[in-house]
Amino acid sequence: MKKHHDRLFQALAGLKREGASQTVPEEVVEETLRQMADRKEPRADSCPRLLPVRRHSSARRPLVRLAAAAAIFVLLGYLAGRLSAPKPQNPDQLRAALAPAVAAALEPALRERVVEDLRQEYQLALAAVYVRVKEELTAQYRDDLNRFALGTLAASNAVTNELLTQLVQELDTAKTQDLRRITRALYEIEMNRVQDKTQLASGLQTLASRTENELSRTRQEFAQLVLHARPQGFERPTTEPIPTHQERNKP
Amino acid sequence: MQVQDWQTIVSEHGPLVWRTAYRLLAHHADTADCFQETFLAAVQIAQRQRVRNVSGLLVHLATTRAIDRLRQRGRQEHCRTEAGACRTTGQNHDPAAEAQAQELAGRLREAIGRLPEQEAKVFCLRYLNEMSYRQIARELKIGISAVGVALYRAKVRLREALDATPTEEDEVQDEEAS
Repeated sequence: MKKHHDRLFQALAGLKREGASQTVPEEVVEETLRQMADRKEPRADSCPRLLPVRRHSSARRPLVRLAAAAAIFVLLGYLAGRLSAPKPQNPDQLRAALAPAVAAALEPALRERVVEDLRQEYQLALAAVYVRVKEELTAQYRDDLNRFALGTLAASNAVTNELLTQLVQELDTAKTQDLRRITRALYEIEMNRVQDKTQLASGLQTLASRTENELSRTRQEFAQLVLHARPQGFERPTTEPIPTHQERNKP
Repeated sequence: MQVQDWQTIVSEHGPLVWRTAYRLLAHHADTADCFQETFLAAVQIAQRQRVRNVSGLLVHLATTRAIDRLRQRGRQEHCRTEAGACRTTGQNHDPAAEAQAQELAGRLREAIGRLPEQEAKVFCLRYLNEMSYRQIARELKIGISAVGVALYRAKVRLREALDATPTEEDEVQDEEAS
């Protein structure tokens, strides 16, 4: 089981499995036999049917062949160039003959080049003007904006102060009116209380007076009743009149 | 035994040579080149000396050529393993396990290509061609103890390369084989 887990033997098993199903292609066998036959070099002490071997082709042979082919191509090219080269002509005639064609060929290019240069200069000048105008307008816009901001801020402060003053005045007025209303309400409450107290005292006095009078009258009636219903030989009790409330309150 | 008929030898031992080379190279064209070079070298050797063990000689030559090509690949940093060539033929139908096995096999090939030549030969002859220590020693013309040392070093290097741990059973198997 340990061997099964050894990676080396797992890899070995994989290698063996890969080559297990391989068969030799027929063309390889034939090519091998053909090469062996080509290299046949019979020896005196070997069997006649023994296939000989000759030396392997040198690895430098392709390089030599390639170098020889390259040299031949270079030589052929040189010879072809030499043979096909035109003969020298008179420079003046050549210049005179070529001048119109050269001028006609160069004129559009030169014109286009000049136009292109002018366009570039104009573009540079326009770019510079654009930058300068942009900077000036930016500075002017910034100044105007600062000025407007200062004016707006000052006006805003004045309006705010005025509004605050009005607000304070309105608050004072409302506070004074509230105090007046509260004072009036307290006064009315106090007056009502005093009036109620007076009425209550008067009512109580009236009730006491009436209660006392009624009690005196009841007492007299009771005394008269007792006097009329007195039996023979019973002396009349002496009763003293009870002073009334007004008599008791006399000084 | 003198070599009598190379056509018969190719037909008899060709599959063994092909499998030996293909296991290490996993590339059809490289294997074909290695196949041809092996038999051409065998012919040269047979002309110089008597060949007692044709199979051993062919396996040795195929292994040597395949390792040379592996080393060339390593120097060129160009692995030409064919995409379909690494398809395993085992009973494992799990794609993940199959991919893992292919990756392990590829890493083992690269590691063998980086081994010293003698150790790589000994390792391949022992574990891929299942030759005994004595046969390996006779083919490589070295001592049996040298075979054991080279095999041990090769396994250590390969395990380091594959990031695996050595097992005791492996050593027991080596002792039995020696």
